Amino acid sequence: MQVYTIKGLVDRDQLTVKDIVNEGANDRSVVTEWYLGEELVRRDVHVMILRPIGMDGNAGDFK
Amino acid sequence: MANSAAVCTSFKVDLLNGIHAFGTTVTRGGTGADTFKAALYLATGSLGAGTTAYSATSEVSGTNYTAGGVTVTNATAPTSSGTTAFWTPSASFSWTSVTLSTAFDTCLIYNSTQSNKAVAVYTFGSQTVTAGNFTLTMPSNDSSNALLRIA
Repeated sequence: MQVYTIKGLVDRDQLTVKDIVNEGANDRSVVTEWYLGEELVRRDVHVMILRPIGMDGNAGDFK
Repeated sequence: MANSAAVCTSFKVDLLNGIHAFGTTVTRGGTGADTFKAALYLATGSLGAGTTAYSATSEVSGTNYTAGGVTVTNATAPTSSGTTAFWTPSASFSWTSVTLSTAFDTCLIYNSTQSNKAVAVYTFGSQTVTAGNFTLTMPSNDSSNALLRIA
């Protein structure tokens, strides 16, 4: 299998893969870094939003 | 049974469906569903509650990224559970084989049918992408987790 990188298509066997999981205040991300030797040649990011956006719809009072 | 003050849940769903117009002039055009888009913004941007419409200012740029972002897949109509109305796009937002070298941390959803008016701003940890894929995975479409909720 070949993987698309900044060096063009590179054989998967030549690449070293590192997965990094980060958790922030709003999100959780999984980053996959692909290295050819010491050089970063591809970086994929998948972000999951953890905190949705909400609005409060409250009825007012007659005062 | 007693009366209780409340914003009607059906009204919250109606808001998401564009049914009501309180303004003195009805400016909405068309009767079909609108097209929504999602664009990415640099970490140095200043988007937030004050954002009124899509702008290319501070938008990311790079290989295989088109200004304006991607079209939001909208196959699931707004609905409600309990007293909360909610909506979530029916597919994740994806950019394929992009290189975005400058750190970005924000996604703007906006209505491209209605003059690019802003809907919501979502932030996440600062990222870069190199010749890879960037995906924003959608949460569960329920009253607690949906991407857009009116409680």
